[in-house]
Amino acid sequence: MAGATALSLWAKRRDMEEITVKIRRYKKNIEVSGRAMLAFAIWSVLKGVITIALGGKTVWELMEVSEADKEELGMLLLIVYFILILIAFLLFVYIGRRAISYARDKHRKKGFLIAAAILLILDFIGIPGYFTTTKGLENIDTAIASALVDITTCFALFDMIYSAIRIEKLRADNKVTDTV
Amino acid sequence: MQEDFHYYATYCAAFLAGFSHEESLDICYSAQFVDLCSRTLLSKIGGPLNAATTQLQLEMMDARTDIIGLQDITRIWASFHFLPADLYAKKEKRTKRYMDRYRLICGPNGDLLVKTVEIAKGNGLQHIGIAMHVLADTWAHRYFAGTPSLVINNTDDHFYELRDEWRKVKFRHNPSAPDDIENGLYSNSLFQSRENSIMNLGHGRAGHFPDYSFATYKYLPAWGEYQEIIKDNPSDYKKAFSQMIYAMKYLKGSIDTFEKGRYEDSVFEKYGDRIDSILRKRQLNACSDWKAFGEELSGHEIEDFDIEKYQEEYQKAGKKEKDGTYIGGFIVAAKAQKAMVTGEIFKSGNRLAGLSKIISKGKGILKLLKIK
Amino acid sequence: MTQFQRVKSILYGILLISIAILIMSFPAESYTFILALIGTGFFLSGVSTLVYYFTMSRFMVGGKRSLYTGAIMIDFALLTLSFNDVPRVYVLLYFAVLHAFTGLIEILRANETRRNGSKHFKLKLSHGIMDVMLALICIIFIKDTIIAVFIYGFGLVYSGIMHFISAFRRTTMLQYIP
Repeated sequence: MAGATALSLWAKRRDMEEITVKIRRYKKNIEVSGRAMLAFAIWSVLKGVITIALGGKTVWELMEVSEADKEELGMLLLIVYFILILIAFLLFVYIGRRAISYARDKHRKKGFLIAAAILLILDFIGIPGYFTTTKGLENIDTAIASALVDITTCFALFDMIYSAIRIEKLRADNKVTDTV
Repeated sequence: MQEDFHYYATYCAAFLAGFSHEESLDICYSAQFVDLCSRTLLSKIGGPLNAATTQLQLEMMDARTDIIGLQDITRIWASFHFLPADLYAKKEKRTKRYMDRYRLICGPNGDLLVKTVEIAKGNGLQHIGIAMHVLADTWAHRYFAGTPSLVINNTDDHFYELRDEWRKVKFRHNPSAPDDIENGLYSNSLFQSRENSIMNLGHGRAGHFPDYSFATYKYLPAWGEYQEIIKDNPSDYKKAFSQMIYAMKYLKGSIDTFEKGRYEDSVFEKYGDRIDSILRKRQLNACSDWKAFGEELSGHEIEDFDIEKYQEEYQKAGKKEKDGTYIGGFIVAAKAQKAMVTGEIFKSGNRLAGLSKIISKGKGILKLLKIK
Repeated sequence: MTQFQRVKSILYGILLISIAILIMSFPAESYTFILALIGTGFFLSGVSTLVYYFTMSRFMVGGKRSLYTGAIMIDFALLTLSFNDVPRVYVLLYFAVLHAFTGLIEILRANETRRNGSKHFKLKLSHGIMDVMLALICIIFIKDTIIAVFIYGFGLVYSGIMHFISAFRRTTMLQYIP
């Protein structure tokens, strides 16, 4: 009887240990994905700056605005464009920082996951656009590289969301409340 | 491990194994000398550079991390300070590149440990000292590998020390400042994302924790798949001490075989509390405590370690007499140990320690020359 | 080193030195070539980071960072390669920053070596000073952009010589009798 109790206790401890290991893994995934978001945010801004400075493209060419539209709505388009870039940048930073805080048990709120899901969908939808707008083989290399970054961003976001869901499920199913 | 264990504790273990005071001094001197016999020192005394058993920080800073440099580093550190536990370890879904590094992880009671002790038998006190250094380090340095590898030797911020409770350790990167163990300020090597960076050699990422006998800590090793390792140094050091006594009894001839996983626990019946108190005392250096214990055991004074003690003897000896000097004997033993370990690593299909020429015993001219 | 590795190292050293001589002989034409080399270097670095992720670091705690780093590096590399005509002044600035940074690190390490009592700090110190001087040359001659070609060529020569020397380093073969 005592032996059976001891065995069952040992099995329970082993199971708890396995759950703790899983939670640790998912938390690390979230933290690394969060850092990736910060890196992608900085890189996106840098890339835009380098492209304009060295790549010979103007902001209008980047926005793919026609001459007619430029004359009619030039300043407005420019303002909207930069506001959108700023929002995207801040969104990346928000998701990244919240993810890192969540992984370190400093914040338990999961609002950042909604933002992550929205960003994931937007990013995923935008990937084919690299190839439909590419003119022949001229810019295929940069299109592939940019698509690669976006695919990686999608992967990081998905990993973050999936890991967070798994953590909550493990905690709820096993009544794990302590920080690991 | 540090001088307190490699010199003074090894003396105590040697004496308890039945060696005389003078023999114990020779053994422990050799054990400690392993941590000091660098190319710089060998160059100074005119010794062969391939007998180096350690690399100084300066030598490491200048060491190249191309293929030759890495092999050179691995040969030294895997042979003397991070003896691999299992050269044939298996792990699923891993590339060969990964497994070559994984298989160099140090741990106690491996097959190489048995070979280390066996090749020391009948080959002089210096060889026994080297074997004891290697044995002791298998306990202290377990879970780390003697090759620069991020994927094996890295640690992250999940690092806790047990004081009254588990306290998170925040490392600083100030190698010149000693650790402040009272206030919990510790140094470790800087994170380097390059796989073969020198910063990723051995236990640098865990700082000096493996070398503190009092420390109990937990962390996530890079290879551990998020499993936490709890390293109980007082317990491990105790095992190292008792295993050294058992090994030296074998080397003295008091027992017939050396088997892994066996210890001389009878020593703790009489000296358990004393040894425990030394190991658990929170101090950077336990030399004075071990020295006092050793002097009580033998009734003789244990002279402090002097790196220059045997250098003049070696330098003055003629070419043919060098092997007969103390350092000469140490050099012969060091080469044998290095050849054995690197040969075994090579035999296992791992090229991280370079190439080895495996010669079958008793073939042709080797038989005539009686080369072992 | 095996014989094959030695031969490879020698050939690589010869190749680097040959390329250096070639580009310094035709500096104006070599500029585009240098840009391509820099971009290719970054690209290979990015690819090797991704290979490292798939063969090694995905088994490591927190190893996914290599995946993300590799993706960004490849993007940066291909972006660099896509530029048809980078104003030469920017390339010189790039070299200046690179050499200044490397030189500073070398000088600091040489200083640490000297403070620790070793006599082997002089070579490191001279490397560091040389790198800082190259950085200064880049800035002083920023308008004479052919300088960029010569600085790059000089770097290739140095690298080639180091590979040469490396090939002749002795490997100790240990005899092991089991």
